[in-house]
Amino acid sequence: MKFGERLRALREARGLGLREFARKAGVSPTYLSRVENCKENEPKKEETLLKLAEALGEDPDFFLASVGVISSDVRRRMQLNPRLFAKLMKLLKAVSDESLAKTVRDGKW
Amino acid sequence: MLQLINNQLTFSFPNVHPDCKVTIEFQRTFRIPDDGKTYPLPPGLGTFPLKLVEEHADCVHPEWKQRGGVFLPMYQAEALWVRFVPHVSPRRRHAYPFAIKLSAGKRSAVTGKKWAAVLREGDYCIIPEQPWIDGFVTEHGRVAQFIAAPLGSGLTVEGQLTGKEEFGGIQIEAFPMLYTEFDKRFPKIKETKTGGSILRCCSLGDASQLILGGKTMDWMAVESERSVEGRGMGMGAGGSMKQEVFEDKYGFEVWDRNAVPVSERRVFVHLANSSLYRAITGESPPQPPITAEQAARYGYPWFEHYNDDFDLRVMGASKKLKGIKTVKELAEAQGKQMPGNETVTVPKCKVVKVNPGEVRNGEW
Repeated sequence: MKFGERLRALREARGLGLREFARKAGVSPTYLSRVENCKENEPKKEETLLKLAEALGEDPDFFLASVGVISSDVRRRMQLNPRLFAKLMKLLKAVSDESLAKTVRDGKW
Repeated sequence: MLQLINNQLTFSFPNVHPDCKVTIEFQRTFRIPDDGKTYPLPPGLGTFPLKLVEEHADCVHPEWKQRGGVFLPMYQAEALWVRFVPHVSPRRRHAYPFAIKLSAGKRSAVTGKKWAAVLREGDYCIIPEQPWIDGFVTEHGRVAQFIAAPLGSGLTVEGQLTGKEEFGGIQIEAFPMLYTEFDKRFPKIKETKTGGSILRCCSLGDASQLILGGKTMDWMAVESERSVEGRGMGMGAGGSMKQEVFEDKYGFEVWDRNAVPVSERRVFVHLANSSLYRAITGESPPQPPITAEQAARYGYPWFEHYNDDFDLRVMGASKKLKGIKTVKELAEAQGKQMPGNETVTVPKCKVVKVNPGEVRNGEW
C-alpha cells in the first residue's frame, strides 16, 4: 500500500473529511488530495509529517519511520555521541529473532 | 521446550529429533458478519503481541500467575485466527508432523470436549496439513469464527458448554510424531525443498495502522472494560466461514505421547482486554482492527484453502459444538444489539485460493 493510500485509509477510518484533516494538519486540501491520490510524492519534511501524525493521533516516531525519515531529535542524539550510536547500530545488526527468544514457563491448570 | 520469539511460540523437541519443531502465531483479523451466511477466510492483519506471564507476575491475576504461559491483548468481539507454521527440514521433503490440541476455555475447538492432559483420538489438528484454524468446528467444512468475549459475560463457548466461565484463554498442546515414524515416512533426500507454509496476510504494513471507527469500536471498547476482575477474556463463536479441519491421516498410534514432559509441550494463552493489557504492561494495545465492511470497501483479499491430498478427510461437527450459539445470538438474548454484522459482498475475484504447495502473498 502506498503512503497516499494508507493516509487516506487512516483518515477515513477516523471519519475525518479531507478539508478537516488538511486544516488540522496545516496543509492545503489540494496538496493533501494529490498526496492521497499518489499524484504527489510523500512529504519528506519532518514538520509536515509530524503534523499529519498529530492530526491522525498516530505515534510520530512510527509515522516518520514508515516513510524512512529520521527525526531531528534522533539525528541530534546521533551527532552528540556518534561513537555510542555506531555501537548501537552494530548491536542492532547483531540482534536476531533467535537471540531474543524467551522460554515460556508452564504452571498448574 | 517452548520459546517465545518475535510474537511467535515455537515448540522444539531436539531430544525427539533435530527437525522436531513447529511454530504457532496468533493473527489479527477483522470480524466477519454473523448474518447466517458463510464467508471465505479473512486475511491476517499482523500478529498479536505476545507477553510472558512470568515477566509480569506482580501485575497479573493470581490465576494467570499460577497457570503461567503467555498473554495477548484483545478487544471484545475482536477476532483471531491461529496459524501453524511448519519447519520444513532441508534434508527432508516434509516438515516434522505434529498433532496439536487447541482449546478455548479448556474446551476443544474441534470437538467441544473438556481439556484432558492426554491426546484423545479425533480431538486435534495435524500439522503441516492444517495451516490455520479460525474457529470452532460447527459443521462439516465450516467453523464459527473465534471472537473474544469477557469472562462473566455469558457470551463464551466455555460458558455455554459448562455453565461457568472459569478459564477463558486459549490452550495449546503439541505432540510430535514418533521419530521412528518420521524417519520411516520421510527419509532423507539429496535435493532440497523450501517453503511449505502458506501466507495469508495483507501486505499493508503494521496492523496497528489499521484503525476502526464508529459504533463498532465504541461497543468493543466499552464492553471490553467490563471483564471481570482482571481475569481476562474467553472465546465466543462468531460468524460462519468455510474452513476444512482435517482428520488425522497418519493414525493415532504415530504420535509420541511420552517423550516430552507435559509442561514443555503445552501453553496457556491468556487474553487481556485493552485496559487490563495497559495496566499490566504499561504499553498501549494495538488499535482495534477494521470492520468487514471497511475491508470490503478497501478491497482486502479473502482466502480459501484447498488441499488436493486424497488421503485427507474433513472433520464433521461434534455433538457438543453443533448448534452452539454465537456471541450475537447470546447478546441479543441478553437484550443487547451487536453492531458490525451487516452482510458484506465478497467479490469472487477477491477470493484467493491457496493449497499447501503455494506460498501466497502480494500487493492488494
